[in-house]
Amino acid sequence: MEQQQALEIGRDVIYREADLLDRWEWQAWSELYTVECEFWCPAWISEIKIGDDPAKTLSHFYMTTRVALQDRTWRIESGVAPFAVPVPRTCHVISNVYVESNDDTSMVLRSHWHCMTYARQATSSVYGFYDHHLIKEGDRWMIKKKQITLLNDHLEMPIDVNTV
Amino acid sequence: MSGNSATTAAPIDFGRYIRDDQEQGVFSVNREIYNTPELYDLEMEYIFEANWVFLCHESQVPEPNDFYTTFMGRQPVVVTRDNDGELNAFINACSHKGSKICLTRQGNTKFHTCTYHGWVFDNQGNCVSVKDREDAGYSEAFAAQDFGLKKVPKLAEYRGWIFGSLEADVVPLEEHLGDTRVFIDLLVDQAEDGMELIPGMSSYTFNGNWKFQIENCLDGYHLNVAHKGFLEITNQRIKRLGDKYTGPDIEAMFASHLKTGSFGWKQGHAMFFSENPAPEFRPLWPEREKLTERFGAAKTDWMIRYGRNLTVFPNLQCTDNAVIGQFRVLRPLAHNKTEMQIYCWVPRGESAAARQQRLRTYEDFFDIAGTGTPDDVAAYMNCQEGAEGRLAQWQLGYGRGQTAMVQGANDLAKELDLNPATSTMGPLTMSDETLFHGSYKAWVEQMQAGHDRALAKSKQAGS
Repeated sequence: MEQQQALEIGRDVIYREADLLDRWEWQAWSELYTVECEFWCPAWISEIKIGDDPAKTLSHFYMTTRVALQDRTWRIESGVAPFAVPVPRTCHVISNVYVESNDDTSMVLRSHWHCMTYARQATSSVYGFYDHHLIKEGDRWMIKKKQITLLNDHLEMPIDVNTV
Repeated sequence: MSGNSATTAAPIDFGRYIRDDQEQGVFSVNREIYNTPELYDLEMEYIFEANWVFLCHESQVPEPNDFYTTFMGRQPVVVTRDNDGELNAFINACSHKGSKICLTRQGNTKFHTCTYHGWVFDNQGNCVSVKDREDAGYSEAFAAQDFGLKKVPKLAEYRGWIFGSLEADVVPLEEHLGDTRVFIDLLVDQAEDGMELIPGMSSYTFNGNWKFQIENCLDGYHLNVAHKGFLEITNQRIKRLGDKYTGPDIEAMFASHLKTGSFGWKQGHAMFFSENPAPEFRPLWPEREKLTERFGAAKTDWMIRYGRNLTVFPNLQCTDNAVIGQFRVLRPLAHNKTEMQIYCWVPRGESAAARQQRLRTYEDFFDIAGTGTPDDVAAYMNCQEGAEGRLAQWQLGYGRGQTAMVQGANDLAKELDLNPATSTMGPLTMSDETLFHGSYKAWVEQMQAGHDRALAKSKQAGS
């Protein structure tokens, strides 16, 4: 597959992911992920060094199944979690997307993201990079791995799977 | 410690912020303790900058020439380990113009060079070079001054936990920690090489008073309400796994026959413990025989069988419950804003499997991106906003456990050779709230003592 074609396909998946999160279409969002998947946001271990091994250093998120992601979105809309009452509104903006590598059934995409979260009549803002690993399952391109680099990790508000 | 303008005002009676009538069995806290902006500077001056505060753990400055930056109250501080392996601490500000000297959170260097005008200090804080000193034209009197970094007057370590005080006239650290040392020992002794903090942390602020955090760490009452989301998720996981589930029975965690209780100390420290009905799922379980050999059955039982949450007043909290341990360091930024740094602590040298189990469980609940801490943070913010409801002055959150609480040591405390101000035992559903009393009483005592000192000082200066 040409890189340009891969870019169009991949961009569509990650734009859709952001859109589904922001519109609270949780089920459809989770189904972008393969059943076994990796959702990883390592913690920084110094100002200039970020964790590179989830077995040894802390992560903000390290989940390895779609169902674990669904647990998280269940909590967000459950109405029993004080942090998500009312559910925060989010707006993800993704840019600088390019294909790092690809073949006919897999690709790695790099992008930059910014998520604004509106809760308690105030906006908080986090941003960073994404590394998406996509694979083709049947006709569908799915997310096999999402690695989130959170740049402003001194946080004014807690974060969740929908706000990064 | 510099005087604050507030100290020149009329004397304040800090006792007005709490109501403590043990004869009638009524303890309460006035909401003004949370919503009065002026109290912040006084708390900094009389508590955080006038007594022992936690600085860092030795694993954050393990090697010679390591440094770690933090705060004592409002004041930036750097802790160093010098060439000889000794600890030092000084104000992290150049003696020349006050520019911060150490610009990273931690690092390793023999000499600290100010990035503004190039003065150089060794890792004991001595000034070893002033750029172009010979041409400076300093007066003799000026040159005779100490150019070194301002030392933190008191610095001490207990089993790798490093504390400092900006006031020199304080009791020795051992006396300040008192009985909490027994519980610190229970953490440190879990591995032959002690404990360490896993690299990485959550660093965040919340719009709420620091005392909400102090309380929440020891609050068993909120667990199945504020954290209902977490508990429901856990139940769903168990259901999904069906026969394949091999973890603890979550419902059993809340059984009424379990032994729970608390201790409060006059220094403001407090501890909550609860029996874990399924200690065999804790990562320390495989070590129990080795531990029993070293420490005896009773102490090992306390390490493994009881979940323990400890507050070392005013800025450190340490938990060792369920699967994981957590280290929380708090720093008030305003009456309605607090900064937190939270870590996952582990016994050094534990197996890779135990480490993974701790990491994943910690992230699942405690991390600022987890399913527990965000709900606590939301509760603090809700309390801060609610505290503006000044029409209702007195909080009703300190009465549970009142009739079970005894002044001084109960039998269990005596068994452990402890000397707390209050002891309480009762079922988990009692959810003791008397363990908060000690922190508030210490708050009043330290605030009053600091205030009286400051007033005496300003009177002296004025006369």
